[in-house]
Amino acid sequence: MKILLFILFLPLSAYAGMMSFSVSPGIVKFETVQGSVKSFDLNFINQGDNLLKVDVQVMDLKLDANGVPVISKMSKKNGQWGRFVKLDKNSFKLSGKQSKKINVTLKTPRGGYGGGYFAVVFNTSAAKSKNGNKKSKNSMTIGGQIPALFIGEISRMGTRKMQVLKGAINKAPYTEDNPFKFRFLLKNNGTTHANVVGDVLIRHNKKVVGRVRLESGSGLVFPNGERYFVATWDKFAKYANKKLQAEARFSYSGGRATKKMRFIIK
Amino acid sequence: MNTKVILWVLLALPNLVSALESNSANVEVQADVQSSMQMQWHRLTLKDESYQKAKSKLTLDDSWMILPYGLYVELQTNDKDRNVFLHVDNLVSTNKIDTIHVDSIYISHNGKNPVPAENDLLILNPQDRGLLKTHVLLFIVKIQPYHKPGQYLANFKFINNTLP
Repeated sequence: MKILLFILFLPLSAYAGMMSFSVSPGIVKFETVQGSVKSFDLNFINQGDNLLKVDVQVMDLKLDANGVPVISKMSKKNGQWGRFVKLDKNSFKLSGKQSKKINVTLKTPRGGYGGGYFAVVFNTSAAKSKNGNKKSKNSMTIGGQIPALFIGEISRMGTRKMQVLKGAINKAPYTEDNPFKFRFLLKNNGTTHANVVGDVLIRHNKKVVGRVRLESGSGLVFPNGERYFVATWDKFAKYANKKLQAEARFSYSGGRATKKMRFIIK
Repeated sequence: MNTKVILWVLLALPNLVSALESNSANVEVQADVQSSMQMQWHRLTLKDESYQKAKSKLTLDDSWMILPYGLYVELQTNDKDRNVFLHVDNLVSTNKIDTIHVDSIYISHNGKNPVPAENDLLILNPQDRGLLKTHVLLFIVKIQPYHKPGQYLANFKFINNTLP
Protein backbone atom coordinates (compact mmCIF):
# COMPACT_ATOMS: atom_id res chain seq x y z
CA MET A 1 0.00 0.00 0.00
CA LYS A 2 1.40 3.31 -1.00
CA ILE A 3 1.15 5.82 1.76
CA LEU A 4 1.09 9.54 1.56
CA LEU A 5 3.72 11.42 3.43
CA PHE A 6 4.07 15.09 3.97
CA ILE A 7 7.05 16.78 5.44
CA LEU A 8 6.27 20.04 7.14
CA PHE A 9 8.27 23.07 6.24
CA LEU A 10 8.31 26.66 7.20
CA PRO A 11 7.93 29.15 4.38
CA LEU A 12 10.86 29.05 2.00
CA SER A 13 12.51 32.18 3.29
CA ALA A 14 12.90 30.56 6.69
CA TYR A 15 14.59 27.59 5.10
CA ALA A 16 17.28 29.31 3.27
CA GLY A 17 20.16 29.77 5.59
CA MET A 18 23.85 29.90 6.06
CA MET A 19 26.32 28.96 8.74
CA SER A 20 29.97 29.73 9.00
CA PHE A 21 31.80 28.73 12.12
CA SER A 22 35.05 27.34 13.30
CA VAL A 23 36.74 25.96 16.40
CA SER A 24 40.32 26.70 17.21
CA PRO A 25 42.33 24.61 17.74
CA GLY A 26 40.54 21.83 15.86
CA ILE A 27 43.01 19.20 17.07
CA VAL A 28 44.74 19.19 20.44
CA LYS A 29 47.67 16.81 20.84
CA PHE A 30 49.11 16.60 24.32
CA GLU A 31 51.14 14.61 26.80
CA THR A 32 50.18 14.28 30.43
CA VAL A 33 51.01 12.37 33.59
CA GLN A 34 48.78 10.19 35.73
CA GLY A 35 46.62 12.09 38.20
CA SER A 36 47.50 15.52 36.85
CA VAL A 37 44.99 18.17 35.83
CA LYS A 38 45.31 19.77 32.43
CA SER A 39 43.39 22.76 31.19
CA PHE A 40 42.75 23.75 27.57
CA ASP A 41 40.99 26.71 26.01
CA LEU A 42 38.96 26.33 22.84
CA ASN A 43 37.74 29.27 20.83
CA PHE A 44 34.43 28.93 18.98
CA ILE A 45 34.09 31.57 16.27
CA ASN A 46 30.83 32.45 14.55
CA GLN A 47 32.15 33.74 11.23
CA GLY A 48 28.69 34.26 9.78
CA ASP A 49 26.19 37.04 10.36
CA ASN A 50 23.42 35.08 12.07
CA LEU A 51 22.87 34.34 15.73
CA LEU A 52 23.80 30.72 16.52
CA LYS A 53 22.71 28.49 19.34
CA VAL A 54 25.55 26.21 20.35
CA ASP A 55 25.40 23.07 22.51
CA VAL A 56 28.71 21.65 23.69
CA GLN A 57 29.28 18.09 24.81
CA VAL A 58 32.08 15.62 25.42
CA MET A 59 32.02 12.46 23.32
CA ASP A 60 34.13 9.40 22.49
CA LEU A 61 36.59 9.68 19.64
CA LYS A 62 37.78 6.93 17.32
CA LEU A 63 39.16 6.88 13.79
CA ASP A 64 37.75 4.69 11.05
CA ALA A 65 39.95 2.73 8.67
CA ASN A 66 40.20 5.76 6.38
CA GLY A 67 41.34 8.05 9.20
CA VAL A 68 38.02 9.87 9.48
CA PRO A 69 37.04 10.73 13.07
CA VAL A 70 34.08 8.80 14.41
CA ILE A 71 32.32 10.61 17.22
CA SER A 72 30.01 8.63 19.47
CA LYS A 73 28.26 8.81 22.83
CA MET A 74 30.61 9.01 25.78
CA SER A 75 31.54 5.61 27.21
CA LYS A 76 33.83 4.06 29.81
CA LYS A 77 35.83 2.14 27.23
CA ASN A 78 39.59 1.83 27.60
CA GLY A 79 41.40 4.79 26.12
CA GLN A 80 38.30 7.00 26.10
CA TRP A 81 38.89 9.85 28.54
CA GLY A 82 35.65 11.77 28.08
CA ARG A 83 34.39 10.87 31.56
CA PHE A 84 37.39 12.64 33.10
CA VAL A 85 36.60 15.91 31.31
CA LYS A 86 34.67 18.96 32.51
CA LEU A 87 33.53 21.91 30.43
CA ASP A 88 32.94 25.38 31.84
CA LYS A 89 29.83 25.79 29.69
CA ASN A 90 27.51 23.41 27.88
CA SER A 91 25.50 25.82 25.78
CA PHE A 92 25.53 29.43 24.66
CA LYS A 93 24.22 31.78 22.02
CA LEU A 94 26.60 33.71 19.85
CA SER A 95 25.98 36.63 17.53
CA GLY A 96 27.59 36.91 14.13
CA LYS A 97 31.32 37.76 13.98
CA GLN A 98 31.72 36.94 17.68
CA SER A 99 33.78 34.32 19.44
CA LYS A 100 33.45 32.45 22.70
CA LYS A 101 36.12 30.81 24.83
CA ILE A 102 35.35 27.37 26.28
CA ASN A 103 37.53 25.88 28.98
CA VAL A 104 38.15 22.14 28.98
CA THR A 105 39.61 20.53 32.11
CA LEU A 106 40.97 16.99 32.05
CA LYS A 107 41.78 15.10 35.20
CA THR A 108 44.13 12.46 33.87
CA PRO A 109 43.17 9.07 35.27
CA ARG A 110 45.44 7.42 37.80
CA GLY A 111 46.30 3.94 36.66
CA GLY A 112 45.79 5.01 33.07
CA TYR A 113 48.45 4.06 30.56
CA GLY A 114 49.04 4.78 26.92
CA GLY A 115 46.79 6.96 24.79
CA GLY A 116 43.62 8.76 25.75
CA TYR A 117 41.08 10.32 23.40
CA PHE A 118 37.92 12.39 23.45
CA ALA A 119 36.13 15.01 21.41
CA VAL A 120 34.48 18.25 22.48
CA VAL A 121 31.61 18.55 20.05
CA PHE A 122 29.86 21.80 19.13
CA ASN A 123 26.33 21.32 17.78
CA THR A 124 24.99 24.47 16.20
CA SER A 125 21.58 25.56 15.04
CA ALA A 126 20.06 28.84 14.07
CA ALA A 127 18.75 30.46 17.24
CA LYS A 128 14.98 30.95 17.27
CA SER A 129 13.91 34.50 16.71
CA LYS A 130 12.04 36.19 19.57
CA ASN A 131 8.94 36.70 17.47
CA GLY A 132 8.86 33.10 16.19
CA ASN A 133 5.41 31.55 16.47
CA LYS A 134 4.50 28.23 18.07
CA LYS A 135 4.28 26.47 14.73
CA SER A 136 7.89 27.27 13.98
CA LYS A 137 8.94 25.12 16.95
CA ASN A 138 7.76 22.06 15.04
CA SER A 139 9.73 22.57 11.90
CA MET A 140 12.50 20.95 9.97
CA THR A 141 15.86 21.84 11.43
CA ILE A 142 19.22 22.06 9.82
CA GLY A 143 22.15 22.09 12.16
CA GLY A 144 25.89 21.90 12.05
CA GLN A 145 28.43 19.96 14.05
CA ILE A 146 32.11 20.53 14.53
CA PRO A 147 34.37 18.73 16.98
CA ALA A 148 37.65 19.63 18.61
CA LEU A 149 39.65 16.41 18.76
CA PHE A 150 41.80 15.64 21.79
CA ILE A 151 44.60 13.15 21.23
CA GLY A 152 46.62 12.56 24.37
CA GLU A 153 48.99 10.12 25.94
CA ILE A 154 50.56 9.51 29.29
CA SER A 155 54.24 10.28 28.84
CA ARG A 156 56.51 7.30 28.24
CA MET A 157 53.85 4.79 29.24
CA GLY A 158 52.39 3.68 25.94
CA THR A 159 53.54 1.05 23.49
CA ARG A 160 53.16 1.02 19.71
CA LYS A 161 52.87 -2.29 17.91
CA MET A 162 51.72 -2.37 14.31
CA GLN A 163 50.60 -5.46 12.45
CA VAL A 164 49.84 -5.64 8.74
CA LEU A 165 46.55 -7.54 8.63
CA LYS A 166 46.19 -7.93 4.88
CA GLY A 167 47.26 -6.69 1.51
CA ALA A 168 45.53 -6.79 -1.85
CA ILE A 169 45.45 -5.34 -5.36
CA ASN A 170 42.30 -4.00 -6.95
CA LYS A 171 40.44 -5.81 -9.72
CA ALA A 172 41.17 -5.29 -13.42
CA PRO A 173 40.47 -3.69 -15.85
CA TYR A 174 42.75 -0.80 -14.96
CA THR A 175 41.81 2.55 -16.41
CA GLU A 176 42.36 6.22 -15.66
CA ASP A 177 39.39 6.04 -13.27
CA ASN A 178 40.46 2.69 -11.85
CA PRO A 179 44.26 2.76 -11.71
CA PHE A 180 46.29 -0.20 -10.47
CA LYS A 181 46.47 0.02 -6.69
CA PHE A 182 47.87 -1.75 -3.68
CA ARG A 183 45.92 -1.60 -0.46
CA PHE A 184 47.18 -2.70 2.94
CA LEU A 185 45.31 -2.79 6.23
CA LEU A 186 47.34 -1.98 9.32
CA LYS A 187 46.33 -2.58 12.92
CA ASN A 188 47.73 -0.95 16.04
CA ASN A 189 48.00 -3.61 18.76
CA GLY A 190 49.76 -1.22 21.13
CA THR A 191 48.41 0.98 23.88
CA THR A 192 48.96 4.38 22.31
CA HIS A 193 48.59 6.01 18.90
CA ALA A 194 51.25 6.15 16.22
CA ASN A 195 51.86 8.00 12.97
CA VAL A 196 52.84 5.50 10.34
CA VAL A 197 54.49 5.98 6.95
CA GLY A 198 55.13 3.30 4.40
CA ASP A 199 56.02 2.28 0.89
CA VAL A 200 55.80 -0.76 -1.37
CA LEU A 201 58.74 -2.38 -3.10
CA ILE A 202 57.75 -4.33 -6.22
CA ARG A 203 60.05 -7.12 -7.36
CA HIS A 204 60.21 -9.26 -10.49
CA ASN A 205 62.68 -12.18 -10.55
CA LYS A 206 64.07 -10.86 -7.23
CA LYS A 207 64.95 -7.55 -8.89
CA VAL A 208 63.28 -4.34 -7.69
CA VAL A 209 61.19 -2.92 -10.56
CA GLY A 210 59.21 -0.29 -8.69
CA ARG A 211 58.79 1.59 -5.45
CA VAL A 212 55.65 3.54 -4.54
CA ARG A 213 54.72 5.48 -1.45
CA LEU A 214 51.73 4.33 0.57
CA GLU A 215 49.26 7.14 1.19
CA SER A 216 46.94 7.53 4.13
CA GLY A 217 46.83 11.16 5.20
CA SER A 218 48.78 11.64 8.40
CA GLY A 219 48.90 7.85 8.92
CA LEU A 220 47.60 8.22 12.48
CA VAL A 221 46.34 4.95 13.99
CA PHE A 222 44.73 4.74 17.43
CA PRO A 223 45.26 1.74 19.72
CA ASN A 224 43.11 -1.18 18.57
CA GLY A 225 42.40 0.85 15.45
CA GLU A 226 42.92 -0.11 11.83
CA ARG A 227 43.87 2.02 8.86
CA TYR A 228 44.07 1.49 5.11
CA PHE A 229 47.17 2.53 3.20
CA VAL A 230 46.93 2.80 -0.56
CA ALA A 231 49.53 3.17 -3.31
CA THR A 232 49.03 3.63 -7.05
CA TRP A 233 51.52 2.06 -9.49
CA ASP A 234 51.45 3.40 -13.04
CA LYS A 235 54.09 1.06 -14.59
CA PHE A 236 52.05 -2.09 -14.10
CA ALA A 237 51.30 -2.69 -17.82
CA LYS A 238 54.89 -3.67 -18.56
CA TYR A 239 54.59 -6.57 -16.14
CA ALA A 240 51.25 -8.01 -17.25
CA ASN A 241 50.95 -11.81 -16.71
CA LYS A 242 54.27 -11.92 -14.86
CA LYS A 243 54.83 -13.14 -11.34
CA LEU A 244 55.51 -10.21 -9.07
CA GLN A 245 56.14 -9.71 -5.38
CA ALA A 246 55.12 -6.66 -3.37
CA GLU A 247 56.69 -5.89 -0.03
CA ALA A 248 54.90 -3.28 2.09
CA ARG A 249 57.21 -1.62 4.59
CA PHE A 250 55.82 0.50 7.40
CA SER A 251 57.75 2.51 9.95
CA TYR A 252 56.70 4.45 13.03
CA SER A 253 58.24 5.77 16.18
CA GLY A 254 59.53 2.68 17.93
CA GLY A 255 59.10 0.04 15.28
CA ARG A 256 58.59 -1.36 11.81
CA ALA A 257 56.16 -3.75 10.15
CA THR A 258 56.31 -5.49 6.79
CA LYS A 259 54.20 -7.77 4.65
CA LYS A 260 55.01 -9.59 1.43
CA MET A 261 52.51 -10.78 -1.14
CA ARG A 262 52.74 -12.40 -4.57
CA PHE A 263 50.47 -11.42 -7.43
CA ILE A 264 49.99 -11.55 -11.19
CA ILE A 265 48.55 -8.65 -13.16
CA LYS A 266 45.90 -10.02 -15.53
CA MET B 1 46.11 45.38 26.82
CA ASN B 2 48.77 47.97 27.74
CA THR B 3 51.44 45.28 27.61
CA LYS B 4 50.32 44.38 24.07
CA VAL B 5 50.58 48.02 22.96
CA ILE B 6 54.06 48.39 24.47
CA LEU B 7 55.19 45.15 22.84
CA TRP B 8 53.82 46.26 19.49
CA VAL B 9 55.67 49.61 19.72
CA LEU B 10 58.92 47.89 20.70
CA LEU B 11 58.65 45.47 17.79
CA ALA B 12 57.67 48.16 15.30
CA LEU B 13 60.33 50.68 16.42
CA PRO B 14 63.29 49.27 14.43
CA ASN B 15 61.21 49.32 11.24
CA LEU B 16 60.00 52.88 11.90
CA VAL B 17 63.58 54.10 12.53
CA SER B 18 64.75 52.30 9.41
CA ALA B 19 61.92 53.90 7.43
CA LEU B 20 62.96 57.41 8.56
CA GLU B 21 66.51 56.81 7.34
CA SER B 22 65.60 55.50 3.92
CA ASN B 23 62.97 55.95 1.25
CA SER B 24 61.40 52.57 1.84
CA ALA B 25 60.82 50.15 4.65
CA ASN B 26 60.68 46.37 4.69
CA VAL B 27 57.97 45.27 7.03
CA GLU B 28 57.52 41.60 7.71
CA VAL B 29 53.96 40.57 8.28
CA GLN B 30 52.96 37.28 9.81
CA ALA B 31 49.33 36.26 9.99
CA ASP B 32 47.49 33.14 11.03
CA VAL B 33 44.72 32.30 8.62
CA GLN B 34 41.78 30.94 10.55
CA SER B 35 40.23 27.72 9.28
CA SER B 36 36.80 28.56 7.93
CA MET B 37 33.81 26.76 6.58
CA GLN B 38 30.96 28.39 4.66
CA MET B 39 27.70 26.50 4.33
CA GLN B 40 24.61 27.82 2.61
CA TRP B 41 21.46 26.01 1.71
CA HIS B 42 17.92 26.45 0.62
CA ARG B 43 14.97 24.19 0.26
CA LEU B 44 14.07 22.91 -3.18
CA THR B 45 10.45 22.38 -4.11
CA LEU B 46 8.80 20.53 -6.96
CA LYS B 47 8.81 23.76 -8.94
CA ASP B 48 12.59 24.18 -8.84
CA GLU B 49 14.41 23.35 -12.02
CA SER B 50 17.29 21.68 -10.17
CA TYR B 51 14.80 19.47 -8.28
CA GLN B 52 13.15 18.41 -11.55
CA LYS B 53 16.50 17.89 -13.28
CA ALA B 54 17.77 15.62 -10.50
CA LYS B 55 14.45 13.78 -10.33
CA SER B 56 14.43 13.14 -14.09
CA LYS B 57 17.68 11.17 -13.75
CA LEU B 58 16.10 8.71 -11.33
CA THR B 59 14.25 5.59 -12.35
CA LEU B 60 12.36 4.21 -9.40
CA ASP B 61 9.45 1.79 -9.08
CA ASP B 62 6.33 2.19 -6.92
CA SER B 63 8.04 0.93 -3.79
CA TRP B 64 9.96 4.19 -3.60
CA MET B 65 8.64 7.65 -2.93
CA ILE B 66 10.59 10.81 -3.65
CA LEU B 67 9.78 13.43 -1.05
CA PRO B 68 8.39 16.61 -2.56
CA TYR B 69 11.35 18.70 -1.51
CA GLY B 70 15.10 18.61 -1.55
CA LEU B 71 18.05 20.62 -0.41
CA TYR B 72 20.40 22.78 -2.42
CA VAL B 73 23.69 23.14 -0.55
CA GLU B 74 26.79 25.21 -1.20
CA LEU B 75 29.99 24.54 0.71
CA GLN B 76 33.43 26.07 0.70
CA THR B 77 36.40 25.73 3.02
CA ASN B 78 40.00 26.92 3.15
CA ASP B 79 40.99 23.95 5.28
CA LYS B 80 43.00 21.19 3.61
CA ASP B 81 42.10 18.70 6.33
CA ARG B 82 38.36 19.29 6.43
CA ASN B 83 35.55 17.06 5.30
CA VAL B 84 31.81 17.48 5.70
CA PHE B 85 29.09 14.86 5.88
CA LEU B 86 25.33 15.23 5.74
CA HIS B 87 23.61 13.40 8.59
CA VAL B 88 19.93 12.55 8.39
CA ASP B 89 17.85 11.68 11.45
CA ASN B 90 14.67 9.58 11.58
CA LEU B 91 11.54 11.32 10.31
CA VAL B 92 9.29 11.98 13.28
CA SER B 93 5.56 12.60 13.02
CA THR B 94 4.23 15.94 14.19
CA ASN B 95 2.48 14.22 17.09
CA LYS B 96 5.85 12.63 17.94
CA ILE B 97 4.28 9.14 18.03
CA ASP B 98 5.34 7.67 14.70
CA THR B 99 8.74 7.53 13.11
CA ILE B 100 10.11 6.52 9.78
CA HIS B 101 13.47 5.07 10.63
CA VAL B 102 16.50 6.36 8.79
CA ASP B 103 17.16 2.88 7.39
CA SER B 104 14.14 3.42 5.11
CA ILE B 105 15.45 6.77 3.90
CA TYR B 106 17.74 7.18 0.91
CA ILE B 107 19.49 10.19 -0.60
CA SER B 108 19.98 10.94 -4.26
CA HIS B 109 23.05 13.12 -4.62
CA ASN B 110 23.01 15.30 -7.74
CA GLY B 111 20.59 12.91 -9.45
CA LYS B 112 22.69 9.79 -8.83
CA ASN B 113 21.25 6.48 -7.66
CA PRO B 114 19.93 6.63 -4.11
CA VAL B 115 22.28 5.69 -1.29
CA PRO B 116 21.21 4.75 2.26
CA ALA B 117 20.84 7.80 4.48
CA GLU B 118 21.85 5.78 7.53
CA ASN B 119 25.45 6.29 6.38
CA ASP B 120 26.42 9.94 6.59
CA LEU B 121 26.91 11.29 3.07
CA LEU B 122 30.28 12.83 2.22
CA ILE B 123 29.65 16.20 0.56
CA LEU B 124 33.04 17.87 0.96
CA ASN B 125 36.43 16.21 1.13
CA PRO B 126 39.97 17.58 1.58
CA GLN B 127 40.59 17.63 -2.18
CA ASP B 128 37.79 20.19 -2.49
CA ARG B 129 39.69 22.87 -0.58
CA GLY B 130 39.01 26.31 -1.98
CA LEU B 131 36.35 25.04 -4.38
CA LEU B 132 32.73 26.06 -4.18
CA LYS B 133 30.91 22.73 -4.04
CA THR B 134 27.23 22.64 -4.89
CA HIS B 135 24.88 19.76 -4.21
CA VAL B 136 21.30 18.94 -5.04
CA LEU B 137 19.97 16.41 -2.56
CA LEU B 138 16.69 14.56 -2.93
CA PHE B 139 15.25 12.38 -0.20
CA ILE B 140 13.57 9.10 -0.99
CA VAL B 141 11.62 6.74 1.25
CA LYS B 142 11.62 3.01 0.64
CA ILE B 143 8.01 2.37 1.55
CA GLN B 144 7.37 -0.31 4.15
CA PRO B 145 3.96 -1.76 5.15
CA TYR B 146 4.43 -0.58 8.74
CA HIS B 147 4.92 3.07 7.76
CA LYS B 148 1.97 5.16 8.87
CA PRO B 149 0.51 7.98 6.83
CA GLY B 150 0.86 11.41 8.33
CA GLN B 151 2.87 14.54 8.54
CA TYR B 152 6.50 14.11 9.38
CA LEU B 153 9.35 16.36 10.40
CA ALA B 154 12.93 16.05 9.28
CA ASN B 155 16.26 16.91 10.88
CA PHE B 156 19.48 17.31 8.94
CA LYS B 157 22.93 18.07 10.23
CA PHE B 158 26.14 19.05 8.49
CA ILE B 159 28.95 17.23 10.30
CA ASN B 160 32.36 18.86 9.98
CA ASN B 161 35.46 16.81 10.59
CA THR B 162 39.06 17.86 10.78
CA LEU B 163 41.27 14.94 9.80
CA PRO B 164 43.93 14.40 12.46
